[in-house]
Parts: sequence; C-alpha cells; structure tokens
Amino acid sequence: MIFTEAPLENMLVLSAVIFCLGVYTILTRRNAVSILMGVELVLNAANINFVAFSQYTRTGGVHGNIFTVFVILLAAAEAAVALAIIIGIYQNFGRVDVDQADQMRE
Amino acid sequence: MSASDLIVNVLFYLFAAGAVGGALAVALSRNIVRSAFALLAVLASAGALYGLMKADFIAAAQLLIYVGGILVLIIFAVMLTHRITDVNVSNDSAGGPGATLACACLLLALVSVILIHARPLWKRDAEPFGAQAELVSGGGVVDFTLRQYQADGRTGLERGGSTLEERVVLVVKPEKPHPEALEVQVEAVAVRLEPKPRHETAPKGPPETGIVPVPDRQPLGLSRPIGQEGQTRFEMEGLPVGPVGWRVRLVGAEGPVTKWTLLGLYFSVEKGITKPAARALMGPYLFAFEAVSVLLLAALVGAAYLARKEVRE
Repeated sequence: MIFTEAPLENMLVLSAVIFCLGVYTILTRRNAVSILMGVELVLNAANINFVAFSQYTRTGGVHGNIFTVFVILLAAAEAAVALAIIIGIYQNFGRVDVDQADQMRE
Repeated sequence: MSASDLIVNVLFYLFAAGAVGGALAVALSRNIVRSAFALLAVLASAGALYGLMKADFIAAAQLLIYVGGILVLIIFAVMLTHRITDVNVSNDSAGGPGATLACACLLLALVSVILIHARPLWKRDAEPFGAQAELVSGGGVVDFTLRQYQADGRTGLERGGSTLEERVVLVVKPEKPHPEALEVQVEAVAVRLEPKPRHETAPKGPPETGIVPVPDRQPLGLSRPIGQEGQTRFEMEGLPVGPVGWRVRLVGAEGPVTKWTLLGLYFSVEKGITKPAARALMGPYLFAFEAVSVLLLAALVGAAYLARKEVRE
C-alpha cells in the first residue's frame, strides 16, 4: 500500500499494529512499569486513529485533534498517579511485580 | 508519482518503521531500561506522523507532553523501583502462546475491518453544488454544477469546509452547452461570512450564512477553454488565508456571455490546525477543557498524597 494513495488505511493499519503490541505488553508483563508502557502504546494508537480520521475524512473537522489533546492530558495525569502507586507498591513490597502485589494493605 | 509524494511516502515508511520497531522492542525486550528508551522511539515517531498528517499542534503537544513529560516520569519510575544491578532480570514476561494468539487474532480482525471499511470514508467524491449565472443579453440564466476538491484533486471539499493547503481544485460544468461560450473564467475571492437575517417563521436550525466579498482584496483569476464533456477543471494556487468564495463567468469570442456571479460555494484556507483547535477549545469544548484542568489538579494532589513518605510516631 502506497501511503499517498491511501493515507487513511495506512495510518489505521499502523495504529492497529501499535495497539496490538500494546495489548500484548499489558497481557504478558509482570512488571507494573512495563504495563504502564503498554497502556501508553494503546493510547498512542488511539491518538493516531483520532488524528487520521480528523485529517483524512471529509467530515472530520478539528474534533479528532481536540480529542487527541484531551487524551494526551489524561495520559499525563494517569502516568503521574501510576508512578505514585508504583512507588507506593515498591515501598510496601520491595518489588513492583503485579502478581505479588495482591493485597491493598500491608 | 511526484517528488513531493515520494518524499511523503519515504517519510511515512521511515516513521512507521520507527514506531513499529519501537513498539516491538517495548513488547519484547527483556531489559526494562531498553523498553523505556524504545518507548521514546515510538512517541517521537508518532509525533512525526502527526506532523506528516499536517496536525502541527498535536505534533508539538506530543513532543512536549509525551516525550518531555510522561516518558521522563516512566524513566523515573524505572530508576526508582529497580536496583541498577538487577536491571537485566527485571522485566520477565508471563506470556504463553495464549497471549500471542489473542493479539494476532485481534490484529487480523482490526486490519481486515480497516481494509474493508476505511476506503469509502476517505475517497468520497465532492458533492455537486448547483448555481446560476445571468446572461449578459436576453435575461436568461445558465445553470452550473460545481465540485470543489482538496489539493490532491480527489478528496472532496464540502461547502464551508476547510483546507490546510493554499491550493484547491474546482470543476465547473454548465448544465447545457451554451453555443457562444468558449471559455470559463473563475476567480477566487476573499469573502466575509455574514449570518442572513431570519424570518420568524423560518425553521429552526443553524443560521444560514451569506457571503460578501471583501472589497479591497485582489481576486485570483484563471480562465480555461471549456474542456471535454463540458467540464472545466481549475487548479487554484496561492489562495489567501480565510474564507474564500468563487466567481464564475462564461466568455465567448465577442466578450463575456454571462455576468460575473458570486456563487454560494465557499471554503476556508487554514494555516495549520492551531487556530481552529484554539477556537474549538474556547468554544464548544470549553467545559471539557476546564474539567480536564480540575482533573489534572486532582491527579497532582493524589500523586503527591500517594507518594509521600509515611511519618510514623
């Protein structure tokens, strides 16, 4: 597939690949930080979709781009809270494997 | 394929390879520090792809917030939760064939849905727009059908739509061939949009806009002989930023056949998406914007509360 012949499909297939790799990361990793990276991959795949639909469909307008801004901001908030939780888990359990952090109290 | 198309293609495949390669490294690397730096490749490539899609504001936000903020946070998380000596064994994976199979099936389903359904979304022809021009003598009218396209000449540009390039393609077709007409002349005129006064009995809905030419702006003119099957194609370049309307007339061997007519068809030329995005954020999305600011504040307070050191007495 040549990109300039079919930009929408190319972008969507690319984001589908990134999305699946993100899901694979979330499913297979034990380390909480790695799972967070998988979530970031999934969010980025969604962002690429939003921007591609916004730019390459006739009725797209600017709305997809605005959604992308919100997703980026929410990802920032999510990363900050996740970092705090991961550090809390590390202080309590000494490691950050999600298999072992199965209690919400010490 | 033109040179600019070739450059765009090469850049797309370069950045796509960077993004997919980085994502593969994030998913498969045994070393979590390598994973974190591969994530940098993915995020930077995604930013470059936004630039390629002409979403300049999103590209800048991606680099500032994702690469400059979130990635640094993640690398902090890696460094704070691992001793530097055990970094090599810190990223073990629990994946069996089940996870691989599930992801492969998901990818297959997504790609097949995309290939079946995406094309009609993108390659949609322009809607025909009807207009009339008055004859110079005799008092009759000539009916036109017009279609306007984005710079690539294939993607339709609806009435009132916007383009990010200074180039628009217009196809003019008179309904019936006029015996005297030899040429079509088209001018792109900078216009102002003004809401029409409404009658009280008018049906509710978005206000109709009338378009008024801006007097002191020089129009861009082109004239072409009437093409095959009565269709004439104009590629207008160097358009002014802002709303632009069209004026059309037919010209014969002995001067103009129809009067200049300002058509109801218009579009607007935008320089990048920053200005429309800012208008949308301060308009229909204002509440969501403020809600996100409150959410960020809550996340800040929550993160500080969670990460504080317990003081035991």
